[in-house]
Amino acid sequence: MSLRILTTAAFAVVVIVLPWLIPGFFTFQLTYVGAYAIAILGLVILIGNSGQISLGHGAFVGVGGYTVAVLLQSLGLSYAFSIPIAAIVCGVLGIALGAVALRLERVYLALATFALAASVSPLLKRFKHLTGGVQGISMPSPRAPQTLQHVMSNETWFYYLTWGIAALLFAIAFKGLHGHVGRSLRAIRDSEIAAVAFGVNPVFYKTLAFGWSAAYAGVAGALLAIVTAYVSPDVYGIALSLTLLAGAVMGGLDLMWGAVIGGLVIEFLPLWAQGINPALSSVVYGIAEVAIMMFMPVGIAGALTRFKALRS
Amino acid sequence: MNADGGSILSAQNLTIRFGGIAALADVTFDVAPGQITGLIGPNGAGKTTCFNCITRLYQPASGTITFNGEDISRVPPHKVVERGIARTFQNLELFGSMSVLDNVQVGARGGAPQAREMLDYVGLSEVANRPVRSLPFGARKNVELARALATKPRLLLLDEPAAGFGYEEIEVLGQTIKRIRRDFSTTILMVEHQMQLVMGICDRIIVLCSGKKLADGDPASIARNPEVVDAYLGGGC
Amino acid sequence: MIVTLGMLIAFNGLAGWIWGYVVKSFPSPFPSTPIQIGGIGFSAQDLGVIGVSLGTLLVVYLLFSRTKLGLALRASALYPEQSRLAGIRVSWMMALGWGFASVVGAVAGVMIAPVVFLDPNMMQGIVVYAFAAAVLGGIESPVGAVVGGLLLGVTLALLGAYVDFIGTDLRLPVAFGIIIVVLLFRPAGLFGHVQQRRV
Repeated sequence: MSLRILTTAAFAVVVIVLPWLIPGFFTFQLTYVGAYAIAILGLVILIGNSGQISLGHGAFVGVGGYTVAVLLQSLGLSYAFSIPIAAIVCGVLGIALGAVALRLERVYLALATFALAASVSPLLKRFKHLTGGVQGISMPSPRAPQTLQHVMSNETWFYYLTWGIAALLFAIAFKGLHGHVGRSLRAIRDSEIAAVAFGVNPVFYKTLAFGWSAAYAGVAGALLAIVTAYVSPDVYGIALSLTLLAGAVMGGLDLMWGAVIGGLVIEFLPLWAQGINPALSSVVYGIAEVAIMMFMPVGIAGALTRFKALRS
Repeated sequence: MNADGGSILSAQNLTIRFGGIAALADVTFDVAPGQITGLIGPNGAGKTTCFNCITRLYQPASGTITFNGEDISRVPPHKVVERGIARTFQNLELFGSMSVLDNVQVGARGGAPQAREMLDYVGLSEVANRPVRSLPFGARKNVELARALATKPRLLLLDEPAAGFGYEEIEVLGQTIKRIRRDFSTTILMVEHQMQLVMGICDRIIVLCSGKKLADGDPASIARNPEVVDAYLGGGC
Repeated sequence: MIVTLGMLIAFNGLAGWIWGYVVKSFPSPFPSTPIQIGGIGFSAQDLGVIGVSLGTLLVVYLLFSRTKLGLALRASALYPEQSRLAGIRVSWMMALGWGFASVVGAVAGVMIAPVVFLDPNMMQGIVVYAFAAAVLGGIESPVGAVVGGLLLGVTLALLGAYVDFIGTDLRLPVAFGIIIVVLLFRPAGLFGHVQQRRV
């Protein structure tokens, strides 16, 4: 138990100190890692804990991104308002999707969420007056508030904001997943029949899982939109959904901190692969996903945990 | 115990069909409080289907189920346990990824302390933090038992508790079930094939065959009943 | 399932790697002369696709319902343990099943490529429409699949032509909407039936 506290503290120290040691562009990339980690954590909650699949989480990332873009640009709201609103909007949509998902067996749920992911881009393009159509919405790059301007760069400030939000969301997930809620979710995943026989309301928990993971994806989308300073329709579709899923699998669906590893993979793998061939990253993702599911189903984080347990 | 001393569970005219076949046809029976009642019959008689109707997993086409004076025919399945009915499963339905303690804790209103108490009662406190998957078969059955007991049931449904057990283990199981009845002041309804156990501890026996109730009475009269013997020897019913 | 998704990503990427992401045209296997039936002009391509589709459906139906192999395939899917005891090589059946599915998929791809053009992501829309048709017609009902497909196609075409709001841009969201609506109000679709869970 105290090992966990130790490693978390060490990790926190690394996160806090890193921007002062590395070039600004690297900080920028690590901000993306943080946002992706939040989205993947949502998938850990949904797939790893409640046992429901979603190939459509890219849609929630998109809704989060566009919500924030519209609120920031058209309404001039601040981050403090727009990001939570994006989370709430996605949470509500997630619950709605969850209600429908109750009727679907695994394969069909995968197909339905796949259909959702495919629908996002056309919808975003169609409602041009709200979403800016094919051209999307541009936003100013994130800037540190006046008081901090001379202390840190803009990238560093937004890096801290992102990882601060990530820390909060991870803490909430930790509390939830290790307590009664997580136990109920995993009970449903392992044996819905027994879970129901012992008082777990499957409708409540399954929709909760969808709403919760969608809200997290929404926050991730909001952060990604702000740091990119741009949202456009084609980014949020099947490709993103599958990429997030691949990241979640590679990190390890059962473990929260696997989401951080997943985030690192999603951000840096394509950059490395693109140097060789633009299509290579997909091939590597795909092969890695298959290989991990077959040989290391607990993912990288899971394997590391097992390794540590074996050694002690 | 009921105030009026009547039955704690009453099934009236239960009928349910799967495809074209009536798994239960107009089944009526009562379970008296504080007794150990056996539910027996050849394979496919509808015994587990009965359990699934009582725990509201299945919705009967017609008939009512009354528990503790309340009509529970329309109660949602996840609300059955709070009314005091807990069960074990024929093919163990444990939460495979979780620890023994977490398994028992799922229904326990008293949380972890109560779960530990139940593990103590079935003799599994040593393995509380082990993954339930790592336990041998007999221990896993005890985890299911502890899980059910942790809900403080008024009615305990045991689905083939002796399945896979040998002679000695059945003797021990019989003693355990009687002890549970005494220590928890609970009523027990048990689906079972092992006649050694059924005849050994049941106060009353209900016999089902092909979805219909064939007989209902004390062990001695059931053993003598020619129709029951016939049904088991393959004569149909 | 996640393995199949990994394969999806990998093959998609592989196709992109080998042939690039530029959209290419694909010549139709059918002649381009129009055919007149009852005063309405059809393209040979359209009739050919319908013909091949019905033919494929027929072949698949006959395979599964009339041949020993088809019976073995069905048995392996539903009751793998019992099938093994009956002497069926279940893993080989599974592999064959995948093979057949891939062949049918390839046929579908060749049929539709002249219409949607060739690129690694061409089938994504098709998958969505296929699922919407399956949900509408009733999952696991072969009649439902055909009826659902026809109904969906006609509906989308009519909506696209006569409802300005939708046009041709929103066909995918409409398909998704149909999936949602059917699942909420009539989960079994037109010809399917709701599954009872057995413990």
